[in-house]
Amino acid sequence: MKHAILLSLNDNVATVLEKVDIGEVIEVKGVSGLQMLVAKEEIPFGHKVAVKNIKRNERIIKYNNKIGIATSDISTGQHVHVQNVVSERTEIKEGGVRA
Amino acid sequence: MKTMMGYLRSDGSVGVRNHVLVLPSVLCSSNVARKISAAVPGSVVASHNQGCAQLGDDFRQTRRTLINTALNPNVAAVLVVGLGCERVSPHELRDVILDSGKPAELIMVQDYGTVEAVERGTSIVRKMVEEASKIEREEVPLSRLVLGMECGGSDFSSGLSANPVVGQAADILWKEEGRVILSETTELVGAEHLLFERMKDEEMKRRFARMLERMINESMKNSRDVVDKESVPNNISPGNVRGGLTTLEEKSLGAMIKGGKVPVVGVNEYGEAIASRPGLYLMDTPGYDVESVTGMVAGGATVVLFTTGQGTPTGNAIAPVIKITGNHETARKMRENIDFDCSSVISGEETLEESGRRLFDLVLRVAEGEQTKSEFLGQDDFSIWNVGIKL
Repeated sequence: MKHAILLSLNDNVATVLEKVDIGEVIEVKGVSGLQMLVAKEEIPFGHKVAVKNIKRNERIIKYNNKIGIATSDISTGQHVHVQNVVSERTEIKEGGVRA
Repeated sequence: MKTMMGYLRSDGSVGVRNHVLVLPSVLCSSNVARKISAAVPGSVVASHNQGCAQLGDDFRQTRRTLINTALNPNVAAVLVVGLGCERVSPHELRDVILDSGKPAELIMVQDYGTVEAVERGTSIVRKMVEEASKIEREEVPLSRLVLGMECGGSDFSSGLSANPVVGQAADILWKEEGRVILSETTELVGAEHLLFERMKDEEMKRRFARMLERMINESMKNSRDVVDKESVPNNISPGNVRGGLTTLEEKSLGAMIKGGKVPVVGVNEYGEAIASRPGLYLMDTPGYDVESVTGMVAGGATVVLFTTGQGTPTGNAIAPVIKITGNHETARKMRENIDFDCSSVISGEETLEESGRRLFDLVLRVAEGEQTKSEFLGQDDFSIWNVGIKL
């Protein structure tokens, strides 16, 4: 079993504390207890995993604050990073959508 | 009122070190300055590559940074090493330092040539070190401590542990009515709304807004291609992305936690001396860490708290830099460079508050003389932010 931390109750991503392979169980340590989920993708050490299903154009929340916008639907257990998130500070780029 | 042992200067400011500084006015005299300092243990040198062929704001920034570095209370006495034909006036540097009540002398390379200038300079600095060594620490209020907060080589652990732990130390010093400087304008973009909420003064909000706008506009103007233009508003290095940081918002939120919950009481230009009012000062600097630290130390920071996820050896010519990491691997691999390991926050062995108190204890020990890793490794980094074209 692998480990991840959730920094705030409203966050929809957690940070994994070790490299996670596809199919491995992740124990997410949060403010109000533990959540178990299964990794749908390989997630490198220190990267983010979705702890909820996130729709395209929905905000990614970490530190109880928006850190970007999902550019595709992301399901629980998927790797959340530059391939499916865009900053709200950037201009509209191809393939990315601004809120 | 809590106290510490520090060097009380004639203007009431307090140093945590008692350096004799060899200060070149220009790149051309930096080699002579380095040779002088190398010949006298107990002296330090602020070697740099600015000082001439600069215009307007860029020139003023270099001049201001050199003067304010010399005036930092960690410095007991200064030898200015001039060339003779440079734009920054070495005579003016010396005079401003003398006016502040600090011993200062001047030597000009064009008067003697390199070898004789080094010999004469060495003799002057040797006497200055002898005099400075007679100054003793005295009991002073802890409120005189000025912390500069910096991060460099960030990774996932910076925002999860090291930066919030530094924020705890900021809050502890704030309770003692001390001052804290937060910089790196590029890294505040994306989280600026949280800082605006901590400012009361409308004029200050306008200054801060202008500072952010200027940084974004100048960066965009200097972007040459699509890759640059995308990386400007998304100031994320390839190393940051490999480490797991996705957007500027994420990086900025993780970075500004270093200022704790301290109310913002000032917005400062690069290298500008901060006011005496307790609180948090925002200084306009690049995210480029050595230049940012140089600006904050010129602004008055006497100790720098530097968080690093991936590890960096960074130090400063006149201020102790405490290197803090939340990445246990980095603490292990770079144990020669890292002063404080707070990975225990991530593993759950220590709370943020506990780690913050442990860090503040180290800050006090360093302020009272304990050497940091960067100090005994001779990491005397000093680099002035250049904002204009050179002639």
